[in-house]
Amino acid sequence: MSKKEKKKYTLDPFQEWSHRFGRIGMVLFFIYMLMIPVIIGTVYDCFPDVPKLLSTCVGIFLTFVPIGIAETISYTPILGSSTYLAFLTGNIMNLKMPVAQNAMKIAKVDQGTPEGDAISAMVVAASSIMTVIIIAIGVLFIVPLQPILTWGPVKTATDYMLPALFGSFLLGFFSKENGEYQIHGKLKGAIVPVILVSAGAIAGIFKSGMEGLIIMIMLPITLLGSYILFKKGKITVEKNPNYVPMFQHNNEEAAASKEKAE
Amino acid sequence: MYGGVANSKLLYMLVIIGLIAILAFSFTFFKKAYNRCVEYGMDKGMLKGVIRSSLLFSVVPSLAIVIGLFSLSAVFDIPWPWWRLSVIGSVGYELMAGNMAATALGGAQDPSTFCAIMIAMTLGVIAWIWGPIIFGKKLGSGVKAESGKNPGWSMVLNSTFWTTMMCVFIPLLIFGDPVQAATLFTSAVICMVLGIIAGKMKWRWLNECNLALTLLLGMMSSLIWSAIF
Repeated sequence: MSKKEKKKYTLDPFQEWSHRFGRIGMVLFFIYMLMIPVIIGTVYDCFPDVPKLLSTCVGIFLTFVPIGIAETISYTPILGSSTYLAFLTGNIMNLKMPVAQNAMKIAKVDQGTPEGDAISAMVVAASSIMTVIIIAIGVLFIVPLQPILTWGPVKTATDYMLPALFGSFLLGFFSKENGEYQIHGKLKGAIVPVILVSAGAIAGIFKSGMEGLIIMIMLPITLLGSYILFKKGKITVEKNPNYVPMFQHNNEEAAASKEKAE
Repeated sequence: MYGGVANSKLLYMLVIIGLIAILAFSFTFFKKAYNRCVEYGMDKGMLKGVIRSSLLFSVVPSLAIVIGLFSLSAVFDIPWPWWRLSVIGSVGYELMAGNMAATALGGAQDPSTFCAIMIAMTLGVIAWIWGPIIFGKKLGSGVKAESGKNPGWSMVLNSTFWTTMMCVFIPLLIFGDPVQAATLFTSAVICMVLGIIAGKMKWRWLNECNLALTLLLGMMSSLIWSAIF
């Protein structure tokens, strides 16, 4: 099967559209993002000289580019069609990923399926709109809101948002999928990476803030381990006996494209 | 601040135009995805519930972003942090990048320093923009292509990315500090209890609110744990 044929068989029309629209949108937004400092620099005649610019850019560039690449590779397969919007509006780990996972759980659809992709994209978009609006409200009411939101206990509570979030994921991680299929024994593939990350964390080698890079190191280990276990029959995929679909395919075109994608 | 450039009407205008474009982009995605879900036969009531749940959940993390906005606005005034936190950036990275840029420039407060900071912070997120543009489709199609060849393995492969993420975050949070660990476990218990109540009482609304409530209560529990540890 040629590469072209493979693509034809694997992406449904919505997924094709989201990749095309998302890519074009991101290129345009990147140009606009760069235009802001260029316009400001030109209008106010304050464009920085090259040495000043380089001294500022190098450190940031070297710190953030590897993290950005690692996060792209790690998060894209989970986010699917909503990748572009999620990356464009940011706050992936604390906002976009949880809403996507939660939506797939409520709708009882599997990650990586055309339905999972569509529902993730829908909620990531809704969440992005909500965040933009809330930040705008924060800007409008900055004077009355600032003392409330920077109050000690509120500040402490927001510092612990990530553990609170991952606590809510923990049960889902240990329980079986509620979609059409269930993976039995998938946690066996997690044993080695958990031991390695725990050892690294105890030894002080792995620290918070390095998550993207650590995921990139651990991903091949989990993949290889899971593949071996799957081949040996230690990890199996079976139909969910308790699966009650939340919807019936009522559109021939959608159903056909799903079949095609599968 | 920065000779008035950081708080200029022009910068406000550029930010607002950009944000309107972001809203339009998000709305287009939303409409297209919603229609697709309906085409798949998903119940509109269920979809509304999913959207409600997502919007509700988004409030608390968004408030955390507003707190980040207050921190950044003390250094860069309002419009620039407003833009940065609405696009690409996450609170943690923006605070770090802004701090790095300001430190590299020795804390100077002239307009050209501000312009240098804006350029540096924009170029710093280049990987988050070009990463998905270059790898987005390949990574997505690559995983999906497996489903044609080996559907079983494709399911496992899909779950592996999420599994790896959990394998990385959970130990880091547990071994990071005791308050984090206690908050994580409290949150897990709250999520389980709410799930049981929602199931027993057949309260669909509670199921939809579970994530948002767990997040809020879990975060509140960190206050108790901070006082203990």
